[in-house]
Amino acid sequence: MTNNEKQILEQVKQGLQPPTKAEIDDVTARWLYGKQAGKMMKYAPWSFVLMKLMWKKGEEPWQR
Amino acid sequence: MAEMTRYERLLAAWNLEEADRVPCAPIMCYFIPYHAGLSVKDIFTEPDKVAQALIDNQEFIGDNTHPIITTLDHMSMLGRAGWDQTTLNWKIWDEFPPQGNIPSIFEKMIIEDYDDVMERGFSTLLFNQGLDNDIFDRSPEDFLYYHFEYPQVWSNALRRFYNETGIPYLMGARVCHPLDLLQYYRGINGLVMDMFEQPDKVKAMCDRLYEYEAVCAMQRAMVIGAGEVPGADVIFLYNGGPPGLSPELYDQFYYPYAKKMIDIFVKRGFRVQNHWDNDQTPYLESIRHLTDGLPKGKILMDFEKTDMKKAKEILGDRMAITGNVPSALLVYGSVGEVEDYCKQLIEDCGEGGGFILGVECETPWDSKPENVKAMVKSVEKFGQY
Repeated sequence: MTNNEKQILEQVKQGLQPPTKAEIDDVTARWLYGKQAGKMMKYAPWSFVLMKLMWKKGEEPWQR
Repeated sequence: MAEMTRYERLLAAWNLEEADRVPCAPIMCYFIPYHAGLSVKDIFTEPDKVAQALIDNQEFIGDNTHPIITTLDHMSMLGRAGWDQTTLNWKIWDEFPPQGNIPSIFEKMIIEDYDDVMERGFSTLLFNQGLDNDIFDRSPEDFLYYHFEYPQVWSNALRRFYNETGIPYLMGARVCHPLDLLQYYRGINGLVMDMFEQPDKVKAMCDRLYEYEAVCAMQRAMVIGAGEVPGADVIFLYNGGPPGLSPELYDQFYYPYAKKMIDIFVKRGFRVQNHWDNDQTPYLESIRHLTDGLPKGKILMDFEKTDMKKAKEILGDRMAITGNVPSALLVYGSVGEVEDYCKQLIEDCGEGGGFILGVECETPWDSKPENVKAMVKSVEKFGQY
């Protein structure tokens, strides 16, 4: 890697604002649980057991 | 002009400046692994073999290389895609044709009620009983490993490739436009009907999806090496939406979410390669506005069937463009025909910089090796500034 490339890369690195863990958890919870996301995260990990109740009849993977 | 490095040459093009010559950056997921004798299964599960195949076949690589994170990134086959396989009807073979095929999604109506997904999220769509893609044979450990551990394993293998060759990555992560996702979840016909019959619900779903997609992609790019390896700061935004949308529908349903995602990426220091397939010519006037409010040099438009000469005319002063040597030419054409095509593309788009010679969607796995070499070499013959 040339010195010029190193400098460019250093500038790139300085300019990056990667997502925080809190951001990742937040968007993932909303993707997974829709409007229930806030509750699911607030009461995690116990809330994950409630997943079983969120499936409607006939959808449940364990019925396969 | 003094010879530039690959990274400098590519950056010059992104910045709409002339480099020492036109860069060449054909997208290749499958061509090199196939040429090196790897199976489709190897591509997904043997990152060291993939890295070695790239190291051993540099004559086919232009100024950067696809890091083949297709295998672990979103809308894909493993890793996070392990979860994708629980909501989408993927078919993944072990071998190339004729024994197998490259991975494909089979269209299936997965989302039946937008309101229900807004309420319960995707969790109840995971492990959908309507899927028939072997997901129920996989273990929890398998899903967790490929989602949380494998990306780093892949990144380490790729890093060896970079350290040995100095060739930049084409991207650090892929991200799917919400409308493209919805066409997989609803089917193309279903989605197009929805645009007319329940447009507000389609937009609400796009709003729900775009931020999640964007955040996941940035996180993945960091794992692959953004800020540490040239090119890993590029997010690959695909795929251009359902084919044949009218410009009015495009402006309502496609452009606004693409712009929101691009703004997020650029404002957080990433660059964006918009890999937008189909013919985007009718939308070029809208695409021109993607750079509004953003600094120069952050967007590369990657076209498949779009009229490149027209794209250069309309976009050339605002963003770089790449494309679009036809797949059919690489598979069935002659070296002379490939050279002629590349020469014409360079003449049409190269003036003043801002053009990277590339392929359509990607270099077909069964391209003639001599044609791929001719394409890569053509920029040295015809692309000097």
